Amino acid sequence: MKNNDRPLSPHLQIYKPQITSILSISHRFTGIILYLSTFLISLWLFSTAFNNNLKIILDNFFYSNLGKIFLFFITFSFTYHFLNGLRHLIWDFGYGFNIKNVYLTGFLIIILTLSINVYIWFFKWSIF
Amino acid sequence: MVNFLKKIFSFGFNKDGLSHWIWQRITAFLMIFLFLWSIFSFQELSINFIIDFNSWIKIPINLALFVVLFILIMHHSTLGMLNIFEDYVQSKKIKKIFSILLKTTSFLIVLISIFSVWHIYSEII
Amino acid sequence: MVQLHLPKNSKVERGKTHNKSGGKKFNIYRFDPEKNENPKIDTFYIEKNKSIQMVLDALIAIKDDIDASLTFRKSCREGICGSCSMNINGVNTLACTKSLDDIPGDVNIYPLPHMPVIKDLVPDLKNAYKQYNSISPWLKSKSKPKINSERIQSQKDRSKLDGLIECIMCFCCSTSCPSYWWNGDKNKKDYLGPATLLSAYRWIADTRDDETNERLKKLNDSMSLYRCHTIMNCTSACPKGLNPAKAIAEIKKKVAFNKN
Repeated sequence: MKNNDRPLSPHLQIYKPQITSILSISHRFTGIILYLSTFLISLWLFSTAFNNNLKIILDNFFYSNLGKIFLFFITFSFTYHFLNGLRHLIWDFGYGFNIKNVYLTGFLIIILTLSINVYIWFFKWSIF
Repeated sequence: MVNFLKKIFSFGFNKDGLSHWIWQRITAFLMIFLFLWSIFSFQELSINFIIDFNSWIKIPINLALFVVLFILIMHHSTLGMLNIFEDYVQSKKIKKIFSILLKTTSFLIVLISIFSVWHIYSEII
Repeated sequence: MVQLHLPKNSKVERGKTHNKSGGKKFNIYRFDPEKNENPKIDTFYIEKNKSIQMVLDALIAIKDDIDASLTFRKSCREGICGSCSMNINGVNTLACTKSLDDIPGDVNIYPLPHMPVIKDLVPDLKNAYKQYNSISPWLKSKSKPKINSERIQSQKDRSKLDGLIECIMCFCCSTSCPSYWWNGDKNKKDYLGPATLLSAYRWIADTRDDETNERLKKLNDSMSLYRCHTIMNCTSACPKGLNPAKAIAEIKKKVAFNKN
């Protein structure tokens, strides 16, 4: 910063959270979760191929409540990141920039993400 | 066209903004189809996923597409993580260290996974 | 790492209440460079009436009647000069076009976010103007115009500039952008921010300009253009209803598919 004596005006502290910025930072968070979950997938593949003991431990973990929460975060992040990613790709082609459409598609993907996850966890796998 | 290919040749791993940006999109676009395929393909083995996975991966087309999908996932997510470092890490030195660590980790994950999947594939039942 | 919290000298403290006459409550960010104090939030009460309709009217009333030291930029009071851009109830906008009727509760006024503050609501825009300068915001043509004539453009070509030339450089968009907060002031290589990039696109889209390729090439590094992650805060903030995010997307498309 060049002007050390000049104070910096407040930013995150005061800026109104909007659907635009919230969805954007969520895209980032879910992306990080998905990157970390590739570690888990890789470990699972490794255990399936080479180490039966590790595989049993992992399988037990996935069937435990904590494991289910992990999996829930992964499926949730995946659906959200996938749908919001589609939205980003459409933007990159130059469509849907009208602020009305931005809000509309934003709400749409929130509703879709929630309903897809409810479907997966309560109906498809009926785990909860 | 040749020019365009030259522009994006680095696969997104250098200082060039366009190459990074476009590879993030190319991988995303390809993954849409591969993920839809894998989701529908996994439907058949949802009852006992863990045992069925072994027989599922033994079908060559499944193996091939799975490997491609996994590489795409890792490419896409590594680029994404690099972007995050670029955004939030100010010091050039730390950024460099982070990105080397990240690329190594990603590469190892791809290696382990492909090796494992190949092992399952080539195993006699 | 990026600093998400405010530096020590910028922490906002509770200030004083100047009057208690009732009416609408205004909480306003104050900073006096003469005193060695942190910024403060002062409270004023202003009654809305026939001549006080917009936020800017209220600010002028406060300056006239209550505290003459309250400092802010203003000029045209009709949304065309871009001087009175500030953060009103969490969103960047022009004080002169923001109606008090649209604000149900108290009015919280801050300077444009993540900017060095000169005094009260006046931010230092030096860096933003420097970035604007860096995109060469003028026509670069190799040919000479005809004598006693303008450079004539077809209606179709001219329509490509609609939604770009209306920008009044108030920097509401740039200072609403989190990416610009974190990477807008790196001294060496900055993220240029939506306002400057919209202007950059205004010259890229201009058919009379001959240096489109050079302009595009200059933007293609990891910082200048590609710190834009299509967050869309810019478009939702723009008081003129323009679309900086779309302009940036068009630049990205052009950088990718232009022949150079």
